[in-house]
Amino acid sequence: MEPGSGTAFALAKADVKPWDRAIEACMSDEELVRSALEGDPEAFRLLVVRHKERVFALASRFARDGHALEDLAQEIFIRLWQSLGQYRGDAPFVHWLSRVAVRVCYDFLRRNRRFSLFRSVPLEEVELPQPTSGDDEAARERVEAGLARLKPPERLVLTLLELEGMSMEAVARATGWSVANVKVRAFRARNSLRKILSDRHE
Amino acid sequence: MNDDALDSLLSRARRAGPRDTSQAQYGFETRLLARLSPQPFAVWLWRLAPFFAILAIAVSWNAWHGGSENEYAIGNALEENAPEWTYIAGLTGREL
Repeated sequence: MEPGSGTAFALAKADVKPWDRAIEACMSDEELVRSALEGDPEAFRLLVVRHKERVFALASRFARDGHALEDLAQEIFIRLWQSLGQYRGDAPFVHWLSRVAVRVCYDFLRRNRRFSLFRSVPLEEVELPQPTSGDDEAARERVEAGLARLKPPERLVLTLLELEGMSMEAVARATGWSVANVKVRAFRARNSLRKILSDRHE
Repeated sequence: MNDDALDSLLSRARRAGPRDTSQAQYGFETRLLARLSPQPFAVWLWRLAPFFAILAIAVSWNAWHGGSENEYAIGNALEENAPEWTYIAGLTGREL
């Protein structure tokens, strides 16, 4: 697939020498994007290696199953590759990657809403660890189980704000919604989550 | 659950960070680039192999069964039309 056009990606086995790899490692994201647009698959590969941890971290908030997680992460990078030509370099590459990733995750949530495990099973029947004062992972499991029962926009906003620690403005930029819209959705999402978690344990 | 309890739960969940995905990340870029790369012609040929196999079986079946039925049909038709049969026998040199 050609960036921006969807045609086949010419993946010739580039004969990358060790010193070339060292130079690439010193290249900035913006320089790697330029090289990738010029048809260098190694540059794109390096971008993937550099940012896959960040992408997997976000994707794992929405896809629990290993295959779904792999598919979602691949979808994010494929969308990134297809729209690489639209990157102008006026903002850091990480912000742009974050925007692409958030939008792909939102599409994923809307697509898989009816198949969500936690939505189909009543929360009372879901076995969740009771969080103790020091058990952060149990708290995360409990929150994620509650989030999985929210509507996709509410789940997305609350995940980005509360779990990813993004600001309102950053969420607005990533989702393409207005700040006011994000605030309203966050307020509703918190109320819904509180009600879901209260129904479960009170 | 009040606001404070929810905030406390959310902050603990944030502190836990995302789940460990290191296993899923292993070799990810290789799989991704393989998916992005064009499929060589030989790969497509291999993928079409079952189709060609079924086609070959269907043609063989038809040639074996359909062909023999045709031969019987021609034979019967020729026997019913003696003048033509005579003509063919004359051309081929076979005895009637």
